[in-house]
Amino acid sequence: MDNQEELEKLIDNLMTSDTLETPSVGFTQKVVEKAIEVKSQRLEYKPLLPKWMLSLAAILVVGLVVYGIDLGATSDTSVSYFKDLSKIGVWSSDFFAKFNFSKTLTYAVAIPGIMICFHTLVLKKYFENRLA
Amino acid sequence: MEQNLNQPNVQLILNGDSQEFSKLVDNYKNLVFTVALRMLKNTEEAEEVAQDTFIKVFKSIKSFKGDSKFSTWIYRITYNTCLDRLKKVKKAQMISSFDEMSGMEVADLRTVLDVIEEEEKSKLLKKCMELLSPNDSALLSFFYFEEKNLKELSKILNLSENTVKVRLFRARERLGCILKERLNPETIRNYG
Repeated sequence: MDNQEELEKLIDNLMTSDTLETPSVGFTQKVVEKAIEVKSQRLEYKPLLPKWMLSLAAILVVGLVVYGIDLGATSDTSVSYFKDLSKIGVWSSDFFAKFNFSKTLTYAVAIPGIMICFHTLVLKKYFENRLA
Repeated sequence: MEQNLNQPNVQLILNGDSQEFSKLVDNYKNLVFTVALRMLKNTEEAEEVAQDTFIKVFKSIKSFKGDSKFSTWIYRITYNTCLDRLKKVKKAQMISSFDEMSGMEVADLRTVLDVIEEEEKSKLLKKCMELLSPNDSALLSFFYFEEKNLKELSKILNLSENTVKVRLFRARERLGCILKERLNPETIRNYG
């Protein structure tokens, strides 16, 4: 125990001579410039969908509305465009009813899904802890 | 030994005050760089890692909850960034075996250190630090530059206080052994 204390005193004494190292002269400036760059990148608006895709979607919606109005005006009142739209639900339920998934396949898809969700939570917590 | 640290205004930094951020960098850059240099043993890499550390601080300053000292938070990021870099470049963690020092050897070293000039002692210490493992040198630097606070050190390294105590003791022993090897045996004999 005495030996440990002696060693501790020796190192304590030695460490009083320790000095901090200094980085290069322009270090602070470089870091601030990088931070400004990071901030401007963060503020830059980046749409999730490209412009052409948004335009195409807008054209499709407008086209469908115009088609619906046009069809409603010319055809018999009982066959309206909006009634046709409701048939999509019936069609999709019929369509998906044809598929019959085995239990193994269902579990094979569901279990990795659950695992991914769980890992996401764990990783999120881990990175938050590292930076906290 | 200690850095003069004025707690930076986090809100001002969040509002984009680059002046306040540069004040923060100036306050902590020396210890951050010192630890990076001692862990990575390379000036260019250390400077790069120190820069990365401050960018990480800038990016995640919003998440600083204030449940620890601001310096502890920054040093924890520094330590983790250095470890990440070490993992990335797969640098060997130098863990050399060492013999326990006898009381006589410790006493001899003490006598020698008492007569060595301060500047020479500082140079000798730097050389010895270079030979220590990244973890040991980080541990000793944080401990001696940061008010010898075990509690804060355990938060920086994410270890229990007892583990830190044990590691600190081992790091001191390793440093003592390196010191003994570095010093010319004749010098020890002459002064001892």
